[in-house]
Amino acid sequence: MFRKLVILLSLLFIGYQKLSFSATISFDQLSTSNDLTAAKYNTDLDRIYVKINSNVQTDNIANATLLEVDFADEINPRIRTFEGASCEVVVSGLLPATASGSLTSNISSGTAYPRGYRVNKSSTTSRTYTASRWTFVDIDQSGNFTFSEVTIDGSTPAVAVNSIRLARVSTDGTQVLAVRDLRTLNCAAASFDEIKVASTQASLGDLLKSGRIRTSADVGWIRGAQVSWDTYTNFIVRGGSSFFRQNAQYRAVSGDINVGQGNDDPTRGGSGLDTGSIAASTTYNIFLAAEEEGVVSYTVTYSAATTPSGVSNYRRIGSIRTNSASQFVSDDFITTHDIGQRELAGAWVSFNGGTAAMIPYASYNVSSITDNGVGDYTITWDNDFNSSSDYITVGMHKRNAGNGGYISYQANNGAVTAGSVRILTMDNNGAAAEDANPITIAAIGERP
Amino acid sequence: MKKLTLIFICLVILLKNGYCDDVELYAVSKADGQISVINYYPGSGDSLEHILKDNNFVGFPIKRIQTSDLPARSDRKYWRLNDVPIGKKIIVDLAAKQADELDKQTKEERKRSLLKMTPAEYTEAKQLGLVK
Repeated sequence: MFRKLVILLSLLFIGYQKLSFSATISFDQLSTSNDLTAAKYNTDLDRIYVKINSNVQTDNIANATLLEVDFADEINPRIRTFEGASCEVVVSGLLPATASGSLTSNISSGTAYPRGYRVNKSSTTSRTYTASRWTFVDIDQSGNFTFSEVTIDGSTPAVAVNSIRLARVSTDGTQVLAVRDLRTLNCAAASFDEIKVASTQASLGDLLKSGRIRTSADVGWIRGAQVSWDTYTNFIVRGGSSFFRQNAQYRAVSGDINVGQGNDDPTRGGSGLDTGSIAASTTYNIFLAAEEEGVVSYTVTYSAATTPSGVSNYRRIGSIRTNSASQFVSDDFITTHDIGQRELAGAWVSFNGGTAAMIPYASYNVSSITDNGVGDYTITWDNDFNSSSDYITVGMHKRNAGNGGYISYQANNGAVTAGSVRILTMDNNGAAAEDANPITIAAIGERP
Repeated sequence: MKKLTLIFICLVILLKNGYCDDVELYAVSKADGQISVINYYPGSGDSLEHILKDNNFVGFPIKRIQTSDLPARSDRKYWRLNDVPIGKKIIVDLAAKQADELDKQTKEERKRSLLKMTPAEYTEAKQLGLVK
């Protein structure tokens, strides 16, 4: 019997050793004396048990023996890389749903990485929201949801501790009306401030946040967003992009924004007058606004004041004026960060009016010069102006003999059209047209 | 070698067509017989038809011409399209020119007569700017 016990203990000893851990676990040598009792046997086994279940260290683990498949998803680097979790991100799901006729809705199952911890909710979570509120939904590193309530149009609360933001739930008196998705779903992009060629050079954020353009009062990136008259009761702000210094956000709009004479609603994407009603003979400052949360786009607000009412994140882009009938006028709008057509020559030409082939010395937007007779020429624009009344023409010429003289429109009707202008180069008495060299003509106005 | 040089010169003369790549010339004959010469720049966005329309020339006779077809600039007022397909495509209306010159001469004589000046006195008065 005793021999059997010794053999059994020996086998047990050898087996436990094979499992790991000879450097950490010590074991009293068996003896052939009568100290091998059941109690001693149990005590020794217990010591082995305790050693194995505590203080396991790198010394107890043989090199290159842990396999990736054995790692739980929470700590598996392959899973983390596959899910793109290089930042605090929502990999999937975790979005509350709307509910018609009910204040209760489910938050979908999904996976996220708040504070770098992998959190997986394998089933939906039901929530009953307070009526007539905005509720901001966050999830923390332990997988717990936090619900922060504010009044409708109230200030956005801070993200809960050790959490990332998921959504804003809007309720009315009886139902979950709308859900604004506020999840971060992509870690592919880095902050602009971190992107730079070298540590000693300016970052992309520095480039986009610095400097003014023309008469723009605000600093930083802006492109497009030109102001354009449309009708007596509507103007257009062209598609574009802009940096807003107040909330340090970048916004963009791909298409045109039509702006009428009604009031704005900037937190809900509405463009218009900031307050009150449109007035006569008033110059309005036009602003881009970045008030609506969770969207890429901006809205347009205009105000008779130098700063718009009810808007905190804005950038002035121009102005427009109303006439005595409170209508927008086309000849009085300005874009502060861009040069308008009215400020540039739309066409010009310099040519010899007395040669056989009138090849211009230089030209822009001219498709032909027609020689109608002595000192009588028609210049045709390549790209026409909007109409005959949407541009002016100026010019000078050098007489072949003597000083003086002037250029005038040819007296017949139709001397000026959207596509051409007919001119006479007159002598100093205004008595007769004469050839001249050079003749220089420029046209300034609006083209489509 | 001399023969080759001669052949080369002849080829240059024969192959030179007078057209300038930078401009195409078109003569338009208007209702009163006066012509306008369109200097059209190829490569522009406008078509020739669009230019004719802009100049109100639609429906009038039009011919493509070369710079060598144009008479002296001093006769510009009397340029006319040559209907005969021989020689230059633009000719000077000599009859109109002579008529104008005769008319001008007659007026000058009448002016001098009214001012009761001798021809020499009249010439001196014109030089002094006393008469136009």
